[in-house]
Amino acid sequence: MCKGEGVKGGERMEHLRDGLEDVSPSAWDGHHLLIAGVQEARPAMAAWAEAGLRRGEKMIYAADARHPSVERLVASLATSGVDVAPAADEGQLAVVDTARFYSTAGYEQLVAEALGRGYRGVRSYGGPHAAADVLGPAEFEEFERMLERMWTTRAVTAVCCYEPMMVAGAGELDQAVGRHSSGWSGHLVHAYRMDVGRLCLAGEIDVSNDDLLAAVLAAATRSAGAELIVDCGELGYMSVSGWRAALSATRPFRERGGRVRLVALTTTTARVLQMIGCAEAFELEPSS
Amino acid sequence: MSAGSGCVHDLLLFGSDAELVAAGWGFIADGIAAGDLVIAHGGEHEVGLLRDAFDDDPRVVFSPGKERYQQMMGTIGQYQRLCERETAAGRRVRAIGPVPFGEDPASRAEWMRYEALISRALGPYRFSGLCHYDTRTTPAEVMDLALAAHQNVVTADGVRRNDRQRPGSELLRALAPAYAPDALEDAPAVWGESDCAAPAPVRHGVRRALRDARVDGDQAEGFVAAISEVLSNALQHGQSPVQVRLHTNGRGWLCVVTDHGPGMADPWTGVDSPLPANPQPVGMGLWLARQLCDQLTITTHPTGGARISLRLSPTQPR
Repeated sequence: MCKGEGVKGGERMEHLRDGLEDVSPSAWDGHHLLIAGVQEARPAMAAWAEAGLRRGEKMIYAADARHPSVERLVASLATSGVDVAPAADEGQLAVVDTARFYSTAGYEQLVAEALGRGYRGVRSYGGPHAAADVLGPAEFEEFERMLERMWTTRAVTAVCCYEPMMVAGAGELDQAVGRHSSGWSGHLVHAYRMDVGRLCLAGEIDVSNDDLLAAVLAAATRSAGAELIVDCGELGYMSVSGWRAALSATRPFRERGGRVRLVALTTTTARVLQMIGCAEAFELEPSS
Repeated sequence: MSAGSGCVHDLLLFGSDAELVAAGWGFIADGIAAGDLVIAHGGEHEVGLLRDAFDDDPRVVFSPGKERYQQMMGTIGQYQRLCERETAAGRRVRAIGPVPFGEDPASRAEWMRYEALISRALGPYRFSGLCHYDTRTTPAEVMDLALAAHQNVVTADGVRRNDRQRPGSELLRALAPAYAPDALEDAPAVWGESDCAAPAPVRHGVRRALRDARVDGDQAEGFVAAISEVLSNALQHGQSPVQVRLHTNGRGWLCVVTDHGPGMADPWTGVDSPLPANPQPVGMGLWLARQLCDQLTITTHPTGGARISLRLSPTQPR
């Protein structure tokens, strides 16, 4: 057994907890994909909930096995050190049954009600695991498209938590990343789109998550114009495998003449990139 | 000396300033004529002699100081990258200078390995190295190694085939580090994991230990990155349990990564260039790790199991 086994869940998502304090709150805004097991997702979800409450937003959770009721949600967040009991009492935090949450009409009504009550915004939490009880794959796909519209038209933030095994098949990770336009998080890494053609990478990339980096970069280059800017100021570690993934994921874009500009690489990350002879593929900029 | 393809690694012997200039002249002049990238490195005095002899020719990079020779695998990596770049431009890289053996036995052994590795590490490239040795001051063991590791001997009298050269593989076998615990392991590990499953917890543990000891951040991150690559490699190719230990005596740091597989057949894995011009495909992780720490050593336990140790000797923050 690894010495760190007992704290692994916390450790894996350590940067996500820090991330919310360090980076702008927009890092978690929008239609966001979180790839994590239930345990791993805990610290990130705690930080996400805290940020939402602080900003006076209505928090809507799809009921699932872990939090079938608001009481269980309060208890679950309490184990992560977040006290949401007062917010739950006031109705700022709600757990909604899956049939209502996972229907376009039901979801739209939830949003309208929350905004009608004067909340500054709405954020919801769900995922295919909970949706599977009420939606088929095609319906779920359609629901994801609706969430995408809710973000672009009504600024509703939705985090969709996918179990890692749900995106383990060929092409599944690319599909899942492609359904979410705002941000993508997984084991150790948090990436989000600050703007069209501008991506922010935070955390650490190694063999355990370089596939997510590749999917995110591929998606980002598809929607970028002539240039993709990647802000790496919060990127604490990048393995050789990560650089290889970044190179191949951006290759079609670069071969079409697209430029990938890496901003604010740390000293060591920049040094490694130069050493492995891949610096020429990118444009480097000390900081923005 | 061939002007064609391949790596040439020759020995220059001199006993006076005049001899150094006379013996080194042809190497530099040939390089200028061929349009090679010519680098003259070493101490101020030696580089100054050659600079004066060539009237500070702008086609030669005169590079005094130890900048290029801080750490043996760092030096090899730099030459591999330089050759890679110059190969693309169609140019040969030519370097003339001494090897900084130093007085310390460990440092001396490491630079002896460097001499033995050059032909292999730069084998795929158009590289000419002319290493100069002062016959007045070079210790006997170093001179023996020098004679074993170079193709031709260049003196003020001319160039001759070196009949004492030994096959590179034989030399490397003789210089391979023996399996032995390091003195730093006398103290208990300050951090460790006995059965690693992933590199991230190790990065975090080592990073925290170095931070607590106030090791300079950039040096610490380089070391952490080196360990992470070694560990990823061990998890992919070795056999579990993979163990990591971190030791320190307050000045130097040693990280030992072991597995329970058959061991690594080649203790020089990670020396060959993984860059595109090398037609042999080799991994990049250990190659990078070798350059990101002060010393990386691969040995095999007598009863099996690879052991990779990485050293960091942090310099005081400036």
